[in-house]
Amino acid sequence: MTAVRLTFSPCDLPLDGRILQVVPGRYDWIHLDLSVPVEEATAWLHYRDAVDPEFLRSLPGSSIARIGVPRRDELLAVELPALPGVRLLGTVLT
Amino acid sequence: MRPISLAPHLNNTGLTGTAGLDGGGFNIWGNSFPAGELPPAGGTTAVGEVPFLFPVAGADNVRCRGQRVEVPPGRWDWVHVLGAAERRTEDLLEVHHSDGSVRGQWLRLSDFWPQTEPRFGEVLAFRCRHLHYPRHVQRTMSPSIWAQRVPLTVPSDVVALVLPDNPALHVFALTLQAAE
Repeated sequence: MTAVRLTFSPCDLPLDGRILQVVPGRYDWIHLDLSVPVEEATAWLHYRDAVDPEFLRSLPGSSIARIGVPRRDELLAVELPALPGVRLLGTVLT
Repeated sequence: MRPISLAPHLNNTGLTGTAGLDGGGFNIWGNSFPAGELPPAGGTTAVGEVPFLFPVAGADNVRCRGQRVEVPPGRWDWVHVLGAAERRTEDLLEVHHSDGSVRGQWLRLSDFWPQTEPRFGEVLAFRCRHLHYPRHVQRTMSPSIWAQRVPLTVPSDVVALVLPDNPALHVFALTLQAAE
């Protein structure tokens, strides 16, 4: 197995329920660099023809969280949870 | 990719031949898929790049009733599901980890019939040309089997998956995809 190094696009935003537009396309994962680990929260994935809730969870021992993108449809945006005190420091979609 | 045997859990007959129409019971009406239009029983079939162990004849799918499916050691990113729902359904798949923690993930499957587009963005794995009834073959109905995928947000130390307690969901095969 080969480890994949992710390059995050930096930002500094509060997790306040905002909707992040993404480059429209098909993806597998949304990786989030957060200021603190998040055990579990719900994000809403906005596709061209549907909106689904999906779980956001940090990897054990890490502040990197990820959200799976199950649909084979075009993703347009991610509605992040509102988590007071948590900031989004970077994102990468794969 | 690692196909998982569901043999201990198969509890429903969803595939029939024309000689055994009354043996099927995918839904309450006794409908079933025409086995002759699907891959050979007991073999491996690929949907896209995902290999699935296609079930043997007889009890050939799992009607979901909270069955616990053991998972081999590894780091797994995705659970690929070959299945269909009596009516479009979404429910929680439980992911059990070695430390006792349990995390839910959404499992969504579209209708096996009518022959609609996928409701949940799945890949159409198979669309048959006929639907079996207990006493006849309906040539104007085209049931579907879908290839869905469920993400494992925490890929390490997964020891088991517990299927939803939801009999509208039917699973023919499961395959695990290793984490990158």
